[in-house]
Amino acid sequence: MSILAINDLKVQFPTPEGLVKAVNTVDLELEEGERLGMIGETGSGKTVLGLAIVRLLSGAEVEGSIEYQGRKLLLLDEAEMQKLRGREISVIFQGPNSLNPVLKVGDQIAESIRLIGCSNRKDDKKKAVQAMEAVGMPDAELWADRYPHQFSGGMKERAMIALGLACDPRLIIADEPTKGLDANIKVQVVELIRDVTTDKSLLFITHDLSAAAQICDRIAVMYCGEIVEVGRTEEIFSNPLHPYTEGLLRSLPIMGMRAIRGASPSLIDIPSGCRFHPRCDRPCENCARAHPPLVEAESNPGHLVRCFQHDRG
Amino acid sequence: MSRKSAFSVGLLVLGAYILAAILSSFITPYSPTGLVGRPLDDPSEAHLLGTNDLGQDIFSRLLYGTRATLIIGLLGALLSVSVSTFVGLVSAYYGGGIDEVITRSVDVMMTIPTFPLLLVLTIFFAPSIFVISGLMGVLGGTQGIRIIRSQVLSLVEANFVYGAKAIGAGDLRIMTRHILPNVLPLATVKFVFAAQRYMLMGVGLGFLGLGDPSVVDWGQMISRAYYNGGFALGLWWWLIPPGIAVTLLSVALALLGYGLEEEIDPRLKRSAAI
Amino acid sequence: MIEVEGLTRHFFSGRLGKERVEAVDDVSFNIKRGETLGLVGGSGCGKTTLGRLLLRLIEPTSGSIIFDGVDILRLKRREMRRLRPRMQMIFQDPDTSLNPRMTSLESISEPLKLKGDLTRRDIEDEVSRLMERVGLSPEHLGRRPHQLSGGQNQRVVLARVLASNPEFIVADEPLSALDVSVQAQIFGLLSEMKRDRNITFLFISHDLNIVRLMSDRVAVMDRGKIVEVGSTEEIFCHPLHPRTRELVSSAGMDGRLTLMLKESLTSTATRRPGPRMVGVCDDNPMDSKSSRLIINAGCR
Repeated sequence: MSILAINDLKVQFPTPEGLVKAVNTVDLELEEGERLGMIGETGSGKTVLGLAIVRLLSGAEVEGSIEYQGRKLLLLDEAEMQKLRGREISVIFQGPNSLNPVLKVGDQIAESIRLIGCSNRKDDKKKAVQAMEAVGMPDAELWADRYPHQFSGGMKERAMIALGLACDPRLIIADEPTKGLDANIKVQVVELIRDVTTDKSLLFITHDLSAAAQICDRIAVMYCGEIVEVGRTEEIFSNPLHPYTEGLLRSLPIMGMRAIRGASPSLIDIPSGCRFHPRCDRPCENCARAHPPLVEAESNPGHLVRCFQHDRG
Repeated sequence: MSRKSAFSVGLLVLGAYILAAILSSFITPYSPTGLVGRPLDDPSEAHLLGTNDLGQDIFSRLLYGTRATLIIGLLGALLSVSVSTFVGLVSAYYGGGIDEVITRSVDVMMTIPTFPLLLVLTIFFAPSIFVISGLMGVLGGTQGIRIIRSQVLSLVEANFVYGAKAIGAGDLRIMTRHILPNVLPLATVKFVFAAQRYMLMGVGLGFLGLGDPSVVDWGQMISRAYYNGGFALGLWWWLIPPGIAVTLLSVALALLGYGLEEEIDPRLKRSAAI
Repeated sequence: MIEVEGLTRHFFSGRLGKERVEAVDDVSFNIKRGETLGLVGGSGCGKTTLGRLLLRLIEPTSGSIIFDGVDILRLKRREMRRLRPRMQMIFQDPDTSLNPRMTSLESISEPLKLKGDLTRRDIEDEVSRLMERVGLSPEHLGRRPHQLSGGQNQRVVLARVLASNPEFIVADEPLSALDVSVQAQIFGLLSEMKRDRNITFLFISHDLNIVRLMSDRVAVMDRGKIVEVGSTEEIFCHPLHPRTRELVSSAGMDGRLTLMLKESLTSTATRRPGPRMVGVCDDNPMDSKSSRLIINAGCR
């Protein structure tokens, strides 16, 4: 059984400017032990999706079903949800803003561990240090006694990862863990994540294609609130079928930084038909009118694409 | 109370007071200083709030008092905020020696309590409401310099200020066109809260008899009513209305300031990361 | 066109300002007209400070900067102001690069107004022209920075910079805060600007892959000093200084990913003319098992 099954998920936010349709009917399955990368840019809905799973969104209208090991998460009450958070499903946020500057790092991790419930007051400090050691911090005991401002960006991220893993969760959701880090630090953090998640299920939300490629078994590409392509990592990067995916890859410096024309659509005013069609360089007649479904590519089962023309050529 | 409604309510009430102040000479039934009735008369149709021990109409005096109170409060606050803004701006922008000197002076001045100093100074200067406002403005202004200065300091380092410099804008232009408009929201909120403080200080001075004797002054009214038997004799209409007027205005200004505070912050928190 | 000699800038910090930090320490280099010099280094190496010094937005502690034959450090304020439109800067964070209380129209008009000799009509026409040039539509004119996306704000910044008609631009991490696809778009704009107007660039970035695409020569900074300078090819293929090697190796993309991307060129080739990969040679052996690309990939 898949550890995470998302069906028909819709997330909307009413705002003064209009209804923001952040996530639009997303279907997704994550097998136990699998690592899935959610790739998208600002406005794609990927972060909203991640937070919706652990129900950390405020002011959102959520419809559909999210099942964790068969349990319907959206039907649980807050108390039951809290029991799951941190212990079974854990979120790793971006480092820089998530640490309280006036508390020592070790204390923060210890307190969180205690609140999550996998330790008591006696052992929490010890467990915190263990968690920090597990993420490769040398002299973890010394660092636990220091404050966030004494940590570099990379170390803060390590601390966040330590926090996320401290209670040995089964499913980890990582939200942009490499954002804002220097290139050499990114390398280290990516390797770390890869190492500590080998026997866990991971939902890796990022815009960093390279990081996703190194860590994940499967990749899902999100655009304008929906999944436009999903498949095994090798497939996606060596044989991208959706024009947006192709465009993203072409935008990489190593591929020459050729731009996709146009701008990301607002999530309030969504284009008709295929959401990408205003920016596509080979739209068909149908593309503006009908909304393409996510279908399997004939050449490769397991590789799903949302495009009317994916098998042309 | 939500910020928005606080703002509206505060503004409305303040507006009513300002209107009263402007129109007072037209709508008061009697002259505020004239002896127009029997002393210590109860409220009646002719005298809505009765008369005081001299026979003056309390209602007219109340309305007229709005002027002095508002002038001290608003003018004092205006002067104070202008001083803070100007000095803070110059100090933070030019930095170096000027900044040092100004900061040290401000540090010294901040150790001196404003109100007692104000008391002492009013004794020396002719106690007209304009002089009082002026003194408040200067003394109070020094308190605010620090806050404005720190805002300006952060703005001076902002990329867009460097950008303006890069396209060839001169210092004056940068200060007036770029930094000042971004300091204005903060200055406005400070203005409202300063108005509240100075208004209360003005009433306080009047109560102590140090205000301007040539104008009608709520503080004076309260003091007079209190010391001349208003409390002892239970003459509520003499003693209480000025107090209520002061309190209401103070609350209105506080609400206005509270409502305005929202304006400066959420503008920066607009972007939602999805 | 630009000659820098012995440029130094100290900052004082710590208690009583006793600690001296050499943000930029005795830096010398030059940039030819029309050339793009890439400036790379880790965070805190001083590249941002150097960029600001070149435009004299902050004063150096010592040294000289010669712009088109004139030592700008010796100029009086007024003369410097007259020179400023010729040298402009693009900052990293597009959201703070613009006055939050000014609309796009006001921001872009400002350099034109400062010229002093244009009529209102002229300014309006010029602004329209610039907007079109950077890919913005008229509806964006009345908007303020918080109403626009990062990409759009960066375009406004570019329009404003172009309004001065500069000969030299310091671009300080202009792409880092943007989404991947927007990065490509702004990069395209910068390349066009470079070609159309033969603008000299100092391109500061921590992302070496982007620097490689944009620059003719590259300078590497570490802790306030320039540790290596050379042509782009030399720096990437034969880095000498250990710091340079560190930077180049962490910029190298994952070998496996690079192979996959290479594959994508052939699979999508039927649908469009295939682009070539930058910095990767067909006949260069790549070890797919190793996790870091060999440093001299793409080199002869």
